[in-house]
Amino acid sequence: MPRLPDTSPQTLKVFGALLAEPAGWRYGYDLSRETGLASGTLYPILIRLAERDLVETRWEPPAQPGRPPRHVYRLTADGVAHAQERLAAAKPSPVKPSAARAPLGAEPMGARS
Amino acid sequence: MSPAGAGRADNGGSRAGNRLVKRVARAVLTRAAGNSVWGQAIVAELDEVRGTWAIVRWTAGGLRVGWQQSASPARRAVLATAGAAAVMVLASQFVVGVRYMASGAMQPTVRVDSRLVIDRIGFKLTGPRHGELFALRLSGVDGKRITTVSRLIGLPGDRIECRDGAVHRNGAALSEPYLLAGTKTDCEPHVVASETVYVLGDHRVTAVDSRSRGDISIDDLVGRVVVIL
Repeated sequence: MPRLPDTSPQTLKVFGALLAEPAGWRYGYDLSRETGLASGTLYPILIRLAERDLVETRWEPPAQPGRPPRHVYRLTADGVAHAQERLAAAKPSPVKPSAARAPLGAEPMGARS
Repeated sequence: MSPAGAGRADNGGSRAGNRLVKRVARAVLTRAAGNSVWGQAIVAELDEVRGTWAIVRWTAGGLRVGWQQSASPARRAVLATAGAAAVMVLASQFVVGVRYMASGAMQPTVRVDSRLVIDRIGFKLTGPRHGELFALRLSGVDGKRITTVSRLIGLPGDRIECRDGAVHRNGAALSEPYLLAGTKTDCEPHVVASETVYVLGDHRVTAVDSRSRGDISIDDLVGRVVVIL
């Protein structure tokens, strides 16, 4: 189990799909196809994110009469920030010199008198 | 009589099966959803889902979500019953199908307006055999796929040719008592390719079969005809 919430690969896939078009409302079935997640996996994620106000939902009236209205989803402003942060954190970071470490070529440890 | 006696046994056979699956799926999911917004959201997407198997998977996922979200044992009992009934109906669709014979391609063996019971699974275990009747998919002239019923004449490796109006398989004339008296068959000599079969409709004059459409891929065999009603 991931230690932090929202770091599972499936959740990250959902973030990725929603971030692709942050202002647009997305259909559930389209998200399922884009992320490759089955409905039984996708919807619990959406439900959780909606409960935490990271995703907003609404019913969209049908394109044709006689069809049911469809439920659509998009990231809230908080959700966008959160998703970007989680996705960035998940990328393996390139090796780079950090301020806390001695720069290469410095005196070897224990050599200081 | 449709042009070229196109053996449209039953385009509706597989579509009817698909429609049944979708109806069952919608009924099950609607019942399972109850008043839940998310349950209804999942049902609403069902119209977009294409393909029998995809419908089954979407429904299974929806039931699982309903189960996870449900608060009461009564609710869970409803879901369990709905799920079990759905599985039974859908499984039976995959095992046995009923098709409607709309063309004369198989006369006199199968009359127009007959119904056929098709074994969709069992024949995959035994493999298709000479002389058996199969519901199968043909690519239509305009690129659309049609479903028809035909008799299996050649298995991979068989040499099929027509001499003096009779069908010969591997050098020997076939005895075909099911044909109308006086029927003559004309075909190009041919060795059946691997993973394919050669089929002929019994009503040789009008049937659209391997003579015009070539060898049929074994994957395009939908099921073996078990009963003619």
